[in-house]
Amino acid sequence: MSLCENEQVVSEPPADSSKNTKLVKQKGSRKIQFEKHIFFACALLSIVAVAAIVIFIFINSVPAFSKIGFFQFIFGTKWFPDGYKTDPSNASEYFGIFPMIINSLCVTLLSLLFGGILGVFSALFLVYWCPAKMKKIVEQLINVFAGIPSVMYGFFGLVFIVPILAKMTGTTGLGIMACTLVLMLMILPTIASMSKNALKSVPESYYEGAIALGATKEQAIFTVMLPAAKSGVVSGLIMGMGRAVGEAMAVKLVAGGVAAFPEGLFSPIRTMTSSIAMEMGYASGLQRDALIATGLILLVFVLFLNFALARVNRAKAADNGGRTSKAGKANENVKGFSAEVVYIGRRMFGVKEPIAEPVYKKKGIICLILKYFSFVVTAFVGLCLVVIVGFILVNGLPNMPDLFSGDAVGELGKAIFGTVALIFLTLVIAVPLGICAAIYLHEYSRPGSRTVKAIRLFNDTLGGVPSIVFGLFGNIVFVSWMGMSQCLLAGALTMALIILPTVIRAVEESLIAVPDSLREASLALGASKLQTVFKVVLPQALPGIFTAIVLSIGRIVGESAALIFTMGSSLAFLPQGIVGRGNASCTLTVYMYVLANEGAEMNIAYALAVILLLIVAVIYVGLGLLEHFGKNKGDRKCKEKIKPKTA
Amino acid sequence: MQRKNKAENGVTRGNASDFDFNREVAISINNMNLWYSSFHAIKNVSMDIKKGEVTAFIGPSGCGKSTLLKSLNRMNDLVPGCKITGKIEIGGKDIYGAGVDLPMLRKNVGMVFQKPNPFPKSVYDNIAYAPRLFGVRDKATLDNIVETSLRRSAMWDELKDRLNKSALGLSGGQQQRLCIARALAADPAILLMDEPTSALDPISTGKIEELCDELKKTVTVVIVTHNMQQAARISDKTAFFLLGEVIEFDDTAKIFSNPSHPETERYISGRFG
Ligand SMILES: Nc1ncnc2c1ncn2[C@@H]1O[C@H](COP(=O)(O)OP(=O)(O)OP(=O)(O)O)[C@@H](O)[C@H]1O
Ligand SMILES: [Mg+2]
Repeated sequence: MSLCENEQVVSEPPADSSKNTKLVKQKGSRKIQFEKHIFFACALLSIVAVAAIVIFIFINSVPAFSKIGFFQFIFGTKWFPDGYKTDPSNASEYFGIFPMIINSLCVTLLSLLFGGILGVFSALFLVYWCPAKMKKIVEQLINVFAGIPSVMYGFFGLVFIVPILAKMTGTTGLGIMACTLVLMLMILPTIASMSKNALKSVPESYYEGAIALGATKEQAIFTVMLPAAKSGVVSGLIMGMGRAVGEAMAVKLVAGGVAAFPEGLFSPIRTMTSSIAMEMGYASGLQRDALIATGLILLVFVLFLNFALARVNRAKAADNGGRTSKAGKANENVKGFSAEVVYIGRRMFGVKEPIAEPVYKKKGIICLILKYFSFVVTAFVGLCLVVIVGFILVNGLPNMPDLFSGDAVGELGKAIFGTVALIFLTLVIAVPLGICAAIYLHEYSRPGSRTVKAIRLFNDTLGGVPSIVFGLFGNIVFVSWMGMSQCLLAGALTMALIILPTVIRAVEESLIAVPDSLREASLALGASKLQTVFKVVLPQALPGIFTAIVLSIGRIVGESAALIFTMGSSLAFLPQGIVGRGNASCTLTVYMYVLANEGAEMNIAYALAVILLLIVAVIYVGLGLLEHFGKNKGDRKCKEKIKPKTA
Repeated sequence: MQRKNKAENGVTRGNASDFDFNREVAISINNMNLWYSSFHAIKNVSMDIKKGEVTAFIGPSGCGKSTLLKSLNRMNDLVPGCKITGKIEIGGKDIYGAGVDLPMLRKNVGMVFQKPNPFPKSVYDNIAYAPRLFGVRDKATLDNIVETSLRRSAMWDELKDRLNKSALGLSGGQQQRLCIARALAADPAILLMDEPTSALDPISTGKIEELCDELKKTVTVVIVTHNMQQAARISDKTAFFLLGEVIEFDDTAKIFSNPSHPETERYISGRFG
């Protein structure tokens, strides 16, 4: 059908009049300009969104800073909003978040340490020692692990980790240790899968080079391959850190809630995120402003991390281009210096350098130990996954009947309705915008231009903003400022901002995979650029768009922090419309969070956890299979193409 | 002389009891066969490579030159499904026999690849890689090894001010000579080179050819090349391969002036299909 149309277009312009053809051309180019502007506007959305988030959160923090005082707020050690209510003249006394900043940092760094070690070493195992058959399964498991909603980790922490810690230490079990373990489990898959990709992209020739110089496999891996993958691994660590510092709901469930400095690893604490999650629901006046200001501090921290990430990526690009970046140079100097110090130290203590055989064996042994360490670590990670899934299934399955009877089944129905409605609305808003933005980035922009780079940077930045900050933003802008109050639409708009970066990236990747020859063929037949994009390129990119949609659904199903203050957590009635008072709703995940938080109906929370786990498994295993299937098909095609040549 | 220098610095040639490189014959290949799964890639090859000579492997593409070369430092171990029969003795030791110390073998039998593959580390760290692997920690010793290796590969003057720069920033020719220096830093007795100049411009190629001449004073060189002039220029012995067999192995002068095999004649005169 499209072919016929193209022929018509070709036959239309009269061949004899040059004036006429010129006119047609101008018309065409103006049309390109017009659609380009629309696509460009969509692409700019991520910049606008980041700017809006920063501006609105900042503006709403200003009252807090002016009444409390910036330094009193950041370095104040007492958080006691109720005290302010009885003594409103002394605002600066009652709103200090310094303990929360410290707690956030402690929890983040500790979980990064554990999660980093577990993630990187299990990635090493996966890439270099895992038997081929097991590899695919483990990769799928990592994907599922990464897709499990954070609330589920928090829930697992609450019902499994905290009681164990409590028994072991004789405390409540809530606190830094519990938060650390929960966050560790949560960021581990991110770090593992990014490290895995980084290791996989290190050229095989480095490995051969090291082996040919006499390195053992272990030595080659730990002295050449891992250092060569450094920037990718560091990116993974930074992303994991961003997730850890921004996580609100999971932390809230196991932190304990006391706004004080930690007295140890097992005393209850409160982080910046959990503070917002705890009080935002009912706060008003200065307390609300102070919570938003807390969000601003968090946002600044995350933006800083994103900036670091961008720098690491730039250094990576420079490394690949063979240029030494500034950071790299500094690094080299530091390394040279530390080697010097070690050398001088050894000299001073008269350490003689043993040479050749004995040391070479010993050095090989260190790498060998690291290898077995990676085995142990992977086994431990696998055990964690088994325990999480097993514990939830064992406790959840017997409770399934409770979920489908009495009051619960009605609430389940409402939560399912809320989830489905939210998914539908969010996709309707975000997918077209994301596709248009991706079309601009790949089909219309000048590749590598400054605008494109900026859009990409802001896209990544938007992707790194913590959910709880999105929640604050949605609450400020959609719920209050636009007067929607908590409703489906406010939730969907917030959620759309969250999934936009994912959609843009997935669609863009699928556009990249469409061969240029198709575009040229279409243009050569006389189709306009717009026609080419919509009739030739997009149909080819459909699998990628589908992937983007499925990924987004996974994200929406798992989300909680961004929804509680925008869409609400009410299961009192079924919403009659999508916007306005009385149309608040609740998703399955939020429902589970509310139950776990109240601690009232744990049997139903367990049963919900099983259902969520099932949904996540279906989504991510399905996605993995889809990819696997697609790849196989591609391979087979390639093989068929090559075969006749060699035969 | 430089070799003596290095011995003083303490990089020993590993287990002297294992490999004896003072023999007349550095590499002795005896009735060797190699299969990649079911594909018979090397057929009944026997040859003795003498110490201190440059030996060139020539032959059409796919005839097994690289395969044989890789068998000499057991890089073929990395290929799944590769099976070898027969015997290869290096330094008087059966390298496929029981109890072979693979790292020591590869330290003593260095290899330079077709495409330069410096590590993404500084020039210094690239060259110091093998010594560090074999236990040299002392900075002064390492400095000395780095300098000696760079001098031996005629790069010291070019690179002495860039030791801390990334090796990936060097030109292709420099990278390849750096890889030679990196191999030399392990103090090998034998150096295997698989088409080391095929990715380089004529000037860099010339430099590496000069280097070969210099190197054969201290190491036994085996080089694979597709360039007939190169083989004629730099090698003492030449082996002509065809479909996995060594058709002729003789003095280079003889092979290029008066080959005894008609196939060899056809190949070197460029009349080969
Ligand atoms: N890893 C492998 N697995 C299976 N077959 C292989 C492998 N490596 C090489 N071969 C086959 O073994 C034969 C010899 O290959 P080899 O690389 O030794 O040839 P070559 O003489 O070095 O060729 P060239 O001059 O093109 O480098 C070829 O037919 C090749 O297809
Ligand atoms: Mg070859």
